[in-house]
Amino acid sequence: MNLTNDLPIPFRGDPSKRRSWPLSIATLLTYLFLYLPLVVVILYSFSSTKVNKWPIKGFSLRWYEELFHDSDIWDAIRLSVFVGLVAAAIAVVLGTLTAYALDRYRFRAKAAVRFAIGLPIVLPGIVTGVAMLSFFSLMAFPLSKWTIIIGHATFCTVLVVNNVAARLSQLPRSLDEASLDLGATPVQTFRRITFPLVRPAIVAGAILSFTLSFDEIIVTFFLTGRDKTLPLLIWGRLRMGISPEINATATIIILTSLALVLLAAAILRRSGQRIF
Amino acid sequence: MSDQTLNQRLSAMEPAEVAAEYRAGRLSRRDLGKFFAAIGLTSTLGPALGQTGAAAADDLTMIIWEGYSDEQYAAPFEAGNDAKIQATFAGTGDEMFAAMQGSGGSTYDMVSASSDLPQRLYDADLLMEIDPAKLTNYPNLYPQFQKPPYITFDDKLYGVNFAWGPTIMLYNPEVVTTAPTSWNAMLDEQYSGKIATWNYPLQIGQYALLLDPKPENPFILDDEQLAQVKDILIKQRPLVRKYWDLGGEVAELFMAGEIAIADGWPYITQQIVAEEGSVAEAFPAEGVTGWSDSWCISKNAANPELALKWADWMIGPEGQLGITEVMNYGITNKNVVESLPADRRAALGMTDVEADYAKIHMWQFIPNYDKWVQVWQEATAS
Amino acid sequence: MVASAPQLAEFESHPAPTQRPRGILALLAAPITWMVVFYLIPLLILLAHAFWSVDYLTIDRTFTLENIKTVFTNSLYPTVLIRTFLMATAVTLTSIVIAFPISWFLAKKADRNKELLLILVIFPLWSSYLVRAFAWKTILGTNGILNSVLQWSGLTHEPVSWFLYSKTGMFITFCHVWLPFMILPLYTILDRLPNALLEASDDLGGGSWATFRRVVLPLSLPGIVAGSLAVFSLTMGDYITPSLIGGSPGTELIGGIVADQFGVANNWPLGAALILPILVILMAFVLIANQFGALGRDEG
Repeated sequence: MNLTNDLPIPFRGDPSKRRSWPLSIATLLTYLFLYLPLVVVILYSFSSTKVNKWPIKGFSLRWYEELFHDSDIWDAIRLSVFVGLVAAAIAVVLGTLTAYALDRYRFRAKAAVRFAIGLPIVLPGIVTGVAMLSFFSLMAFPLSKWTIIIGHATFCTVLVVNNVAARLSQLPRSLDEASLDLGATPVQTFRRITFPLVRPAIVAGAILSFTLSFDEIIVTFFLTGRDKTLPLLIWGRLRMGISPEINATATIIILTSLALVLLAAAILRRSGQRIF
Repeated sequence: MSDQTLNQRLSAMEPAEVAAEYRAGRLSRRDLGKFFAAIGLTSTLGPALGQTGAAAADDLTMIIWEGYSDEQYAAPFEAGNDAKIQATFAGTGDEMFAAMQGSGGSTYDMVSASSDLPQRLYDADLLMEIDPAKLTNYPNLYPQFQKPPYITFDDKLYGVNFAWGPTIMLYNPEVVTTAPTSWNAMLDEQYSGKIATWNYPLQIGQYALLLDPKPENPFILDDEQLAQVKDILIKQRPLVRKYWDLGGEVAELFMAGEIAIADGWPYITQQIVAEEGSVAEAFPAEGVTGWSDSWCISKNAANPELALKWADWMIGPEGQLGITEVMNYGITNKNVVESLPADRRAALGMTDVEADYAKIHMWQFIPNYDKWVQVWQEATAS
Repeated sequence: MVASAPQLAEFESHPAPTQRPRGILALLAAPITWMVVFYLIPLLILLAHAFWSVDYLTIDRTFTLENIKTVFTNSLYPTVLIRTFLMATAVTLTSIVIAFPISWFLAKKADRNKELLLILVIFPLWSSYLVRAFAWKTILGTNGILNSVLQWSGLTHEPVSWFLYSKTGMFITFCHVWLPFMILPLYTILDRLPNALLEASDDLGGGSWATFRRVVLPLSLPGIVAGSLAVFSLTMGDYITPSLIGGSPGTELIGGIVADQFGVANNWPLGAALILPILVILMAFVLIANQFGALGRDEG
């Protein structure tokens, strides 16, 4: 999921470009498998009945109307946006520092640092969640949106590290050296030379962190006090089985994020970069 | 001006007022800096993004059974007290207990505790004592609900008893054509894959009603009796389509045609009927278990006065009538019960409150509950 | 939470130059403090819980091996652990099989719309995992879409009930929700595979099967292992899908039991002890993955 990864071997022209029908069909079926649930969600958000039954009895905009009057959902969306922004900001700072250190320095504990930073995403969310819960509880630290943010920032950092490290490794080292030779301090060099060059990777890492945080439930579940993020609210309602308003909410989020992703891709393309 | 008084003064002001003070030159930039440092990131970032969930003074957070915050009675209370109720629905009393314990008891202001739960909450030192003199509707409660043992500890009151009812059998009459008369219907192979039962260790009490000899109190079971119930549950396991967590889920399972028979509460029937689904209730001959629910207030509640007002409201006429209409449950206010027409009282199972109440095996604190949890888990895992 | 071990494969820095111990401390002070305070110490505290016990309502902090013994001797937990392991393995293997053709297509066949097609693979991750899992209920239910299609086409006459509230249903849902985590690393590695290599194999008379088995498969192992680690880990720890799609939410998979110990049963020490085997299994996996280079190269 590396948004800025310029692949080293850009093999575009392919001599063996034989069309293989089985392969195309398999690919098409996989896309269908990936998108079937999304289509179902969008379809049922327009259903006029409460229970998701097939075939759909009738269509209406009733759930969208209820959604717009449901202050709980909007509160939850606001909280999720807030948590996502703050967590992504923390992750960007921690992640950029780490990536820079990993790339520019040679030190013995490098493997250990890399391992520790990556651990929260290699181990299942439930481990992160209950570990932090035990910690906060032992410290008598009250649970709130801040504990959620701490949890999210912890597993988002590695995303920024990976994106930024990948970008840094592609940069010619001579740029830095030239800057240092001309008398700039390391901090100046970072600010004027390195940072502008890795900025796209940082932005990509931030976007990734935000989206991950926005959808996170497993860690959040253990770290929340009285605050309900959007996934927690959705979870509470889905547990009760009945979901039309949730379908409408999800549809809006699906369409908004699709628009944002395509927009980001278009902007990147204009400036000569690609999302992949 | 000392930092402390400055901060106190500023805290009491709206942001707009602070800004006005600053523009008028009554506050220096440094003062403002100190103030923002003192109140921290929360409040500086908060307004920028709209209020993000910080509990306002008039918020009332509660962990409850579904339906207990229905708009019919919550909306007028909110309007009358300028309050906002934030309710979370729990699937079991265990979940309520865990939620009440979260963050040292400061997460939820109150809980709709059934008769088994307050003892545990009290033992964990999570409950606030309630002064009945502050409840205007308290004298109208039937005497048996004024100071029942499950909310009275050390002769002090820790809850306001407001509703009660049975856990009954629900079935879809289109599939189950003859009305079941025994809990054995939920072990009947002809309904294999069409059965749902509540995912709650306390339900062992319900299945204990099938034991022979029937225990006098299905909530006091020795190890041998527990083992017998476990056998029943293991026999039932392959027939069960879904162990349900929340009432809304049962309603959905019935309406989607996934199940034909389940245990549940009258409120679930109400929900299915409201969506024009097909459902009927049965009272098995072995008897039923049930619950008597009280509002309990957290010792660390942010707003205990408001919580007390809610409890009072819910034993008042609006709350009590609301419970009968929305939930189809029994209530505890004598005046309100007596104001109901006889047929309505019969439908609610309250013709003679004292006698009808005594017919139900009410949930109670279970001393060896850890064993119950173990049995339940082992039996319901395939 | 999204594990993306594949990302670790991106680490490929070239020989680092300067040696400035002070600079490194300044850079790493904040990240390391954060990770130690908010992650490593909490992990240790969690592990400590495994050796404590619950006394009615409070945690008794005297050392005991009781929980560990319970985890391995009780009739329930070993069964559920093994079941979870098998489920995670099945989901991982199936994901590899499903992901291979589409990754190959994206890496070697797609041209003009490559970027869009890739976005479309990732996009489901941008829409709520919860909602996608829930949508499978509508598809797999007794009166669901799949049963309707099957009955309409005459393949079945009665609705099939074991699609939903069953292990089959959980399996299908897991394969769906985690699939992008398998496709991405696999695509990345296949895309880097020089076509000249494939041609060479072709020229030397290797049929397509031989080329796949002797050239493509071995070279794509790091991607497969990285994707597998992500999918396996996510399945091992999940409790949402069992709750929505499984029949017995609390006891289907180990994640549900652990979550219940913390969120319902209030037996944190037992919950912590149940996490131990998960940690051991995953650590073993991580070490194996490291052997395959799925976590990137370690250099000093």
